[in-house]
Amino acid sequence: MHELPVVESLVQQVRAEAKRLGVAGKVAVVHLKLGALTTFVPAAMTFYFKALTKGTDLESARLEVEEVPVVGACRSCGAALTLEGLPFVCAACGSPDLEMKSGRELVIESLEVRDDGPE
Amino acid sequence: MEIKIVKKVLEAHEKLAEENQRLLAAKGVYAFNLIGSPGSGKTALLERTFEAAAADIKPGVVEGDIATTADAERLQRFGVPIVQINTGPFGGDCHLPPNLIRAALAELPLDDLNVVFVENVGNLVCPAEFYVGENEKVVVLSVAEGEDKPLKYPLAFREAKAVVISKTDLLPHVDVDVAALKKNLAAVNPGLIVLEVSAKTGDGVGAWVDYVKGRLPGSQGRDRERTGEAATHNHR
Repeated sequence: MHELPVVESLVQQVRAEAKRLGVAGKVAVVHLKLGALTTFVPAAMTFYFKALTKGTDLESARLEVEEVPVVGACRSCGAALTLEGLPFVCAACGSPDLEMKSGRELVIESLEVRDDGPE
Repeated sequence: MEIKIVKKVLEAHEKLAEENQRLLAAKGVYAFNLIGSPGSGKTALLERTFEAAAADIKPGVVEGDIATTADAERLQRFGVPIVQINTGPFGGDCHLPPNLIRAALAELPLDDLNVVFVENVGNLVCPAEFYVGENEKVVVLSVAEGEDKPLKYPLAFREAKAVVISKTDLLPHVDVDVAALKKNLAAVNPGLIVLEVSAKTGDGVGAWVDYVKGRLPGSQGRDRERTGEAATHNHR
């Protein structure tokens, strides 16, 4: 259920960005990057997005969630690594001393807007 | 046409949390964000902490619950300043957001404190996700919850600096495999500090209190903090 306040923030930001860019009412797709380490569920996010935008200027917009893998580097041997699951250790040398570079993203990446002439 | 945005959804949250941390730092206050399942023993741990360390620390508490002031009432006898937040009126949020923490901090006499315990809403999922301006998260996990929890809720244990394994007095009565639990904790977060406590018997309370005192501003324990390990991570 904690997706709801997050999607509320998302909708507010998308609306503000669309207004700033002069494309209010024309947003077709919202591309969101979501790190695999977060606890947010993409299906819940798209569900809330639909519910929160119904009857608004974003009603025809769709939320597309792209999962970002957990990528890091080993501080011991320098190996680059992508973690598919636990444990959090380097596959090359077994060290737990890892620097995580991605996996916690919750970022509005881009907006796709319909090109249907000036407002 | 696609327009690049690249904007963090929780940017506003993070700014508020960072403001909270700046306020705490300016007042010389260290903040723990206690996370754990409902009934894991977070409030009992605080009760024992205040009994054992009343003279040594200057604590304040932010109690988070969806509803009721039961936990705040339990802690009132220690004369510790407490602010109770009920998230019910705000939609029944399953965690404490940084704006409510900011409001709570404004109610606490921060000038007279050196540590604040934020007892988050009982939940192993959502509170892990949100930085509220704390210095560290601590997970309280009771032995009755089983050894698999770190694997099922990795983010909470990943974000934490320490875990308190609570209710160790129940060990003869439950089937938990403590060695496997510790192995699972290490698999999720190799740098995690693990403490074992029974709030009922008092076992391990001393070590927990020493840990707390060691984290406070001006204590020597702070210099012993291991750095550069996997447990050091950002909050985003």
